[in-house]
Amino acid sequence: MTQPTEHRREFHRQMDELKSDILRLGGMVIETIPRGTEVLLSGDLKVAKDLIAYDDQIDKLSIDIEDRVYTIMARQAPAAGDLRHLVTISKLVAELERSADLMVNVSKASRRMYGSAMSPRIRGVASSMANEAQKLMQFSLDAYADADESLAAALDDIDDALDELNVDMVEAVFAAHTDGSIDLQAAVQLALVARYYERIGDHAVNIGHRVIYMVTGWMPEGASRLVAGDSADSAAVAEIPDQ
Amino acid sequence: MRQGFHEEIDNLALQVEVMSLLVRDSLGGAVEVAVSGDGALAGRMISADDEIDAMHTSLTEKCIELLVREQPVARDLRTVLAVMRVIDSLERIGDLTLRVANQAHDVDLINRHPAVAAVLRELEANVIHRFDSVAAAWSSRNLDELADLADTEPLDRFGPPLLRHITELDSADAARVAVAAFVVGRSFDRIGDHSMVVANRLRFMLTGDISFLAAEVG
Repeated sequence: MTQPTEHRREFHRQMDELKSDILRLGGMVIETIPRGTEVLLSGDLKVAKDLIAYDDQIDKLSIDIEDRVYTIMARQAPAAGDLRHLVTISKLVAELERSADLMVNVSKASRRMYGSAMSPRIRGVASSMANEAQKLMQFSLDAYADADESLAAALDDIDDALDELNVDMVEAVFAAHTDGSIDLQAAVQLALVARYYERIGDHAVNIGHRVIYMVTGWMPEGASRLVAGDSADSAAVAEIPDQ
Repeated sequence: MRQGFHEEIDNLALQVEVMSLLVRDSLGGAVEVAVSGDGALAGRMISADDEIDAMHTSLTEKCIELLVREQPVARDLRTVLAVMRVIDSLERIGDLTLRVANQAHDVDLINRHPAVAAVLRELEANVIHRFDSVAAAWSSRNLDELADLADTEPLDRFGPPLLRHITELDSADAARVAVAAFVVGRSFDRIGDHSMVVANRLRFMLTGDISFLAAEVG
């Protein structure tokens, strides 16, 4: 009689560890947002180098979590609710790992435009985008931690501010290039940077959708936003919506 | 009952093949739009993407249903897990083809710059080759189909020349052309990446070697 109970206890311990690790991974990813933004705004190349090294730790933890999810699925035959939680964790890993990659992209873009002066308007919008992205990612992790379906569902609307800032940024960048205050290389890199922040917001919204699935067993309609790529289009030149 | 389960697993893998055919159509459309700027084709691609999204949702639900109901183990479990990840990548490839379609109105501007256009054409051919090899490997369950990908030009070979040619632009609309060309280039680059995710998940599915999962993280 005691063996199944111990087995169950061990299973719950592993699930608790996974939850704790996914939140730790989320914390690490959130940390990359101000650090990457510091590279952009201050041009501190040492921070850029550190951030790229830090991303290796994020990758390592991501792989470790995914390995453990598969092992538990294979060995523990979890029940429906736990299985939904495991599927959710495996999806969250991908969203978080990709978000950290996007901040590495911000650092690399900053290196490519090293020495370019940014107007106060561009610096202000970039800073606001970083704050919004960080806030969204934190909310999405709070929603997961507390299994808060309402907060998860609200992320879509909260993300609108970031989408609007992306349009502001692209307009500011094009204006700065037209008046000759930044060169083409810097303009392209800044348009990319705006897109990277916006993508992080999309990843946070996706996390919210996964949390809704975890809590309710239902996937919201049109659940996956376009978050796969780090391509660089701008709302200013797009006619067809992503979704 | 177990017999029925194996048929369901086979059917699941077959449905992935069907989904990959839909995505391949959209990928072909993206290449055509990138060359011709055909706005009507771009519009048709949006409708087709709804079908891809619907397949993604229904296959995801099917995978979860199988996991809950059948508690699969070993290769069956790997197949269901691989399918869940592969359909995510296929759906996102579909979305990325729309991102290219979004640029239809700027294609003429891009193609007025032959050096930029030439890099994009090379990249598109490379990505199509990757996707087709991976789709063939999935259909045949034969990893030999992936063998020549080792000799295919790496995707990151295309970024530096594209960026160099873009920054050499000096026309009045240079920023607009640059961003549009980047969108097209990075979209195809990501499609190539996602094709390799599918390849690695197939390798994991067929061999059980978990190191293939790490290969896609970076």
